[in-house]
Amino acid sequence: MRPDDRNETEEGPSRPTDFDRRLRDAQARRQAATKPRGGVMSGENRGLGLGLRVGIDIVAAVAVGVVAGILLDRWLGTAPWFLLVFFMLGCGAAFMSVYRTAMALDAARRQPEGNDGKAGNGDGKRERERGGAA
Amino acid sequence: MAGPLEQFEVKPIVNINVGGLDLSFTNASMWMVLAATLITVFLVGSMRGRALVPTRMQSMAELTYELVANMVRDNVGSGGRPYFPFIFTLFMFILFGNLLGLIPGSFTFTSHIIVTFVMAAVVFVGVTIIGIVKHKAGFLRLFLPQGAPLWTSVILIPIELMSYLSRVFSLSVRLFANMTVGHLMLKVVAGFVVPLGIVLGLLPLAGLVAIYALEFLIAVIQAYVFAILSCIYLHEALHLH
Repeated sequence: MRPDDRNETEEGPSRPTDFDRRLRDAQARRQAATKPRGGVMSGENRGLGLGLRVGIDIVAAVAVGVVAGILLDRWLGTAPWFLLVFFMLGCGAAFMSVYRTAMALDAARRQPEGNDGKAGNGDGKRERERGGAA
Repeated sequence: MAGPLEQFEVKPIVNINVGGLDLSFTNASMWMVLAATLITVFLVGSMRGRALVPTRMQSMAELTYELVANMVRDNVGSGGRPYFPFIFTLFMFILFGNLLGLIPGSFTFTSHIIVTFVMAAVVFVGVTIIGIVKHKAGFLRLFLPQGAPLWTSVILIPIELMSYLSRVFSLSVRLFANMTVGHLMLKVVAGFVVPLGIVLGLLPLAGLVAIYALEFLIAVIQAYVFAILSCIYLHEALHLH
């Protein structure tokens, strides 16, 4: 019996292509094992968290508009007009924030999984989704 | 029995009055100093060994560091390294403030809107200054959405401006509201335990345990969210959309 100490198989020395394949497999396995690092932010909690975050964004935008309108009215004595205009602007701003959050989320979804090799690609768009938990 | 709102009262411990300004050292100040001290003790003390194979404390310190380091790298990008110390300080201060507030009888300084507002305002003003320094007048492009016809900018610029301004409020209100509501709920439910007697009182007591667990989760998540939103705003100022 031949001692198996020279990394040889029955057909002779193992070929480099075989080694490459096994290396790729091992790397894929390892990546799969370490991949899910969503932490506390992942899972079913995300929907609720996103809802709460978006809710506060809406309230804050409308509140800023209303307060700015009331203060301007009080300052200039133009009773309801600035309030009306700024209320509308506040609503628009609220829609804008929600729209932007939704677009970021959509972009994050669309980005295919598994291009971790690019290490964040300096963009962070994909990771914005994580901010979704509140 | 103490009312549910008494836990939020700011009481002076040492009265200091400088030229008509009330600069008293209050219980809020005390818990902030305590949080800062504990963070320093936690980080400096646990990293003293600097072992290759970390002890429990050291790996806890490394865990917080890596959490924030990854957050900054993923959300701000490579240009975010210089701002890591600030984000880390912010995260640790809020985290310790939230967690210390869960000690019965303590004071939660993050449950005061002025505290969270100042932190949000520092982020907001800082991010705006960074954006202006980096892009000069080009920073104003942030308020003009790409691809929109020019005439719509009459409506869009005020809206964008308003949505930019409202961030400072949504950032501060989010943390403040979460902490205040949680502590109010704890106090109100706790108020039911004794008056309901031994048998029925067990019900709110069990609820209290569950709410406490939830509050721990919220304390950590809110610190995380505050830090991550600061990162996202920073990214926007550095890269303009």
